[in-house]
Amino acid sequence: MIDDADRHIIGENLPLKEIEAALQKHWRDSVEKENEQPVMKASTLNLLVFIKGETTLQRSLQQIEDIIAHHPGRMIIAQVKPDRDDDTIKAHLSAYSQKTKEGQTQIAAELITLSTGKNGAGRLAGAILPLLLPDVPVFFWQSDMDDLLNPNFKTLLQYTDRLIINTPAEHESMASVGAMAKSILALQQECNISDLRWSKLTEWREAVAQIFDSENNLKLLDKIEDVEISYYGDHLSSHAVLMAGWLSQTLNNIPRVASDHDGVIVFQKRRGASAAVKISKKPSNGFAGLNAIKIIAKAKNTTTIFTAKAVKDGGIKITTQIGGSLHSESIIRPAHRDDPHLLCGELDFVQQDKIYLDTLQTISEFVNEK
Amino acid sequence: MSDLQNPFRDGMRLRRSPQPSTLIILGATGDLTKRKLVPSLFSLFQEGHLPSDFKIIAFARRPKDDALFRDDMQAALRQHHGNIESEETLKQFLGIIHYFRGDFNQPEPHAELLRYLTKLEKQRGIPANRLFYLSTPPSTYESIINNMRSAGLNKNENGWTRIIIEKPFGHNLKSAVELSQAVEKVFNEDQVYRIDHYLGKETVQNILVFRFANGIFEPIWNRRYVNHVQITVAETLGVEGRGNFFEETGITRDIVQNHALQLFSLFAMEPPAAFDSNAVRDEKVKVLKAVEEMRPEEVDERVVRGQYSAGSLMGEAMQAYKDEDGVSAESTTETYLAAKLFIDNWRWANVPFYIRAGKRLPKRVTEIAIHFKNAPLQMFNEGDRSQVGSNVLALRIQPDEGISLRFDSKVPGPSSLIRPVTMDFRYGTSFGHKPPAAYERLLLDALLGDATLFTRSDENQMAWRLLEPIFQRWDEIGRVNLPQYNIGSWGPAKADQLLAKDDLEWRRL
Repeated sequence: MIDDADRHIIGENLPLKEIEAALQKHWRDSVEKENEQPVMKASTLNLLVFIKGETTLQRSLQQIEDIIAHHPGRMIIAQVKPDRDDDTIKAHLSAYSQKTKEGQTQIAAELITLSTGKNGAGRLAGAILPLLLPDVPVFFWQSDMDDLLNPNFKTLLQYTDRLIINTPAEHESMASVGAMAKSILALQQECNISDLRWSKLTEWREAVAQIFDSENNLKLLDKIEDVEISYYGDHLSSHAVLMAGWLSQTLNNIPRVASDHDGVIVFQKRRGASAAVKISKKPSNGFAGLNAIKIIAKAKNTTTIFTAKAVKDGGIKITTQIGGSLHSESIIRPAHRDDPHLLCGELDFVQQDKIYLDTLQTISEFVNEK
Repeated sequence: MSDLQNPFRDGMRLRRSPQPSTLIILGATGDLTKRKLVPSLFSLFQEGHLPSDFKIIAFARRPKDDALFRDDMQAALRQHHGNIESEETLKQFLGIIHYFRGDFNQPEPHAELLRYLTKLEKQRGIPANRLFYLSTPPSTYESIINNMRSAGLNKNENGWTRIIIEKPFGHNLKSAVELSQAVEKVFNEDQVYRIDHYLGKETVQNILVFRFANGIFEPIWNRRYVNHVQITVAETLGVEGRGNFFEETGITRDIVQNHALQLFSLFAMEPPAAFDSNAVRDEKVKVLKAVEEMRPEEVDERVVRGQYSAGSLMGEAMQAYKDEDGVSAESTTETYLAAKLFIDNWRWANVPFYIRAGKRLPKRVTEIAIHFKNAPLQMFNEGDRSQVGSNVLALRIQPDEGISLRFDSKVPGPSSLIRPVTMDFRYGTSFGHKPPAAYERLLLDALLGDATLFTRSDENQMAWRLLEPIFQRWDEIGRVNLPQYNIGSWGPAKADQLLAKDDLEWRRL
């Protein structure tokens, strides 16, 4: 188990062709330094990160150091410096090592930072591909959605097993959410995709799932008439839209009619009885994110209301009201998961997140219909 | 149960949550609750794996109330849980624990418990999903189970009822069958979860992944390529103040019947048709059934027992087993056992399986080592080899979890010297995640109704049947002085002879 890895600078401003030799030399030197004690090297993945500018580099380095503790492997940061015009690519190499509990040295991660000027951006993909470790999966962490449309990325996406993105927390309109959904759906042909924004919804999805773990509640599934999602904020919340898309598609309620006016968005089937999923916003008052999900079912003249509501300490309170009386109440206490935790969690999986893509598809259809 | 599936669970790969439920720990003031159960439940709570509505009812005789018991559990968590993330979470967790005082050997407290649970469930508006954990001495199992039946706690129409029973499940085949019969009168087999915490260990589960998720190992996992197999469960600990208990059990009942034979069956079983509780356990039972039964006269040849004598371990002088508290000076209880088994099936015919387990050995180590046959033609000069050794694939269960492969390699230079080298996979360094404690996984599985990692009744009885000739032979021989081994050594000399007869030796660990 690695908790505190030591960073060793191996080389700076190295030409690309010297990278592998320098890493090999570090490996041999480590063995000699340990007087032929075993030195181990573990690799479970390649992680690519594309960034612009120095601030982002420092932030990315910090995130990578958090990841190394959980996922040993080769990390490649590609940096385009907008203030530089040249097209040469220089490499900075570091290795992170750690003493295991048995006292052996483990090379936990190799970090290769490639930097170039704006004219060299198109050559970065060609520099990265030969550096990828064979046999282990390739993850591509890219927070800036605009860069993904850059043709230089297309080559890399072909060799990527999983693309990890973090879509914006807020949007101006449903049209912009729809456009984003379409561009992500287009990328699924190239590689598997995960979105940290979606991962952050896990606790809310868990809350809804827990409501319907009860067999009695499950029987009310086709009696659901309305779903109301409310959020805090001045702009349209991504979480609210993703939640509405997920609930709609899970309730087999692919929208055929959609409306978006007076700040209330409604997903509803064109024909037949079906649940309407509504999104509305509340003034932020210093809060952000989802406020509550209310699911209303009617059976035999009795109305059952399930509510999942954010509470002060970060938990979600689930209540069930039957015929106007409180029937049950419980609280989900989510595990604390910030962005590095979420990113680490996403690196455990290579496979496609089909439910996420289905949700985007539903959102995309909503926008087409509107 | 209905066939309705919760569609909101689709794709929830990161989290599994059991239904709202209540865990009732019988004998909750014992050591197991403090050291293992409550710390594991707290980890599950902290990670968000427990259901949103979950209560723990501690059922025990001692005069306590909620506040006092929660104080005890708080102290236990501070001592035994290394990662309390926040005081607020701890407070919330302690709030779900309630103390129910009563003598579980008497019928009336069980009836009171039923009333208490029903009231609590009604207040909370949850189904009557109840998981009972018998953390009591095995001698009390039968009376508790009968009391549960009298009170109507063994089943209910408003939810599921499950019961976890701690090992040992019997003392020999006869008592195991009797215990099973007593349990079966009250519970259906699918309600019973016999817990052997070894099966909750990640690396034990990894045996199945290693064998059946990789294509390269299964083709060589048979008599054609394997020379022999060594299974070692070595402990540095002695009886740790449990002399009375150990005198009744010995290493064979305490370790071999459960932990060692679990490893044996997972290693040697055929691939199950599916990874579900019955398919996996069916295959484990089949391989145990295929073990060649020893005739009494063979026991002397194929089984070695021993007892530790005074010595030192890690520089510390330690007393002999017979000098431990609660141990008779004339004790004939074995603290070491080595045995040679054969499996009569097509895969393993004539491949010896050597199993050893012992206390006060030099290292704490549990592993399965597969010794492969040598290459058919040795074209290299034997004099050039620093050590004649076969290829060994070792599955290390603890403490240094992982897998290593030993093979020969040429020493660099102009000579043709050959030396063995190892290639290591270490679980802890390849995956940064701290594996969950065994009890965490098993408690969660029981709440979810997944019995794959629990022992089924027929599996338990089959393991006892396999050892029955050994116990019979020892009974025939009567009280004899057992071969002694020094504390800190690898067991009695006779254990080495067991392998030497086959021109083999125990793997140096």
